[in-house]
Amino acid sequence: MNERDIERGLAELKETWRTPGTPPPLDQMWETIEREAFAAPARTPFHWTRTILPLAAMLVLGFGIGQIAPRLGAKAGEVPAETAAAPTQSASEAAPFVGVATDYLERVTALLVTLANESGRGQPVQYSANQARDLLATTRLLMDTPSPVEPHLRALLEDLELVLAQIARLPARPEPPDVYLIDQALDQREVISRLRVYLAETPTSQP
Amino acid sequence: MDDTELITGARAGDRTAARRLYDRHAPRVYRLIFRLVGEEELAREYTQDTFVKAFQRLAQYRGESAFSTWLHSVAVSSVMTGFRRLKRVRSREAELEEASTVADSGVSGDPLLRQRLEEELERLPERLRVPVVLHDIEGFTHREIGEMLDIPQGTSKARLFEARARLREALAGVVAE
Repeated sequence: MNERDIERGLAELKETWRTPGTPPPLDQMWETIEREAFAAPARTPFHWTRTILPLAAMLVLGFGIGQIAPRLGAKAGEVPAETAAAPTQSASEAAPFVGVATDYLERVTALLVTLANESGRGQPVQYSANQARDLLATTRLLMDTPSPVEPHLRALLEDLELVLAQIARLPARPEPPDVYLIDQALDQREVISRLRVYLAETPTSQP
Repeated sequence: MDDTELITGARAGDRTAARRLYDRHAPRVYRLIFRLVGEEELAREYTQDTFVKAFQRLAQYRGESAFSTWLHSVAVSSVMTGFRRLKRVRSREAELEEASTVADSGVSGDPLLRQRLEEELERLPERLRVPVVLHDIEGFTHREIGEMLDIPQGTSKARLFEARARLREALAGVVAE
């Protein structure tokens, strides 16, 4: 048997080898194709919210705890030994930084709550890129402040800077498919509520 | 309405255009996939997978080749991915082939030779059988096969040569009978 015999034999298999016994169920298959091909991609462009919003909320919470918890402890008279012993800045020196930081926390919280509320209603998100850019600028100001900032807090600010930069790039009017993704904000509301409690318990200005 | 117009519509989210595109090409894609997997259930699954990927990646189709060629590339890619994922396919092939193959379609030639050829084709390793199916049975060029399998044309030719040599060697005794 030579090459030509093999070629001829294979050519004869065109009509017989592995031919489907029944025609494919085109309609049934199309249902699956349509569902998967035309529904899934619409959600993809806004997948960032699943990542960014939880992260942002966690960062804000971390920032809030870092700033506010020591003051709450101080109100109760629980001053850590090393804090009391170390040469730290006075309350009057820290006041401007604390005031700005608290205001900053409130505004970040407001931004996250806004996004969560808009998404919860299933309406196009009314979103201000200027607001995000403003918060981003504040973040950078806080990072550059001459007041001492604890290393872990600085790391949080740096991460938050990245997060806000991504939020600031959000289109002015995100398409409706993004809304469902901000459902994640429902999970964050507890975080945001807790943050609000901390803020409510903390005076925003020093007497 | 030709493929180009339907593709433009499908890209814009027109499901009617997408459906027409599907109706036009699905039977051929299904047949090709069935040739490669030999099982209707798998052929349906991979055909669906092919069109889902194709519609999701439609923006990547630049019209440099016929849409059917591009679609067949997606199909073969789906099958090869499936082969790697489903090693059980190979063990099923023999019994399923027996059920799906038409015994005698009236094609000229030696029935015994054809039967043995089918059996030996089944025994070929996947890397050799796929080029034979695509080239000698489905009629694709080595260039197209290279694109489908993501291999150089020369590799496609070499695999086909090796496959034919193995078939020739295995069938030597049949001719002698």
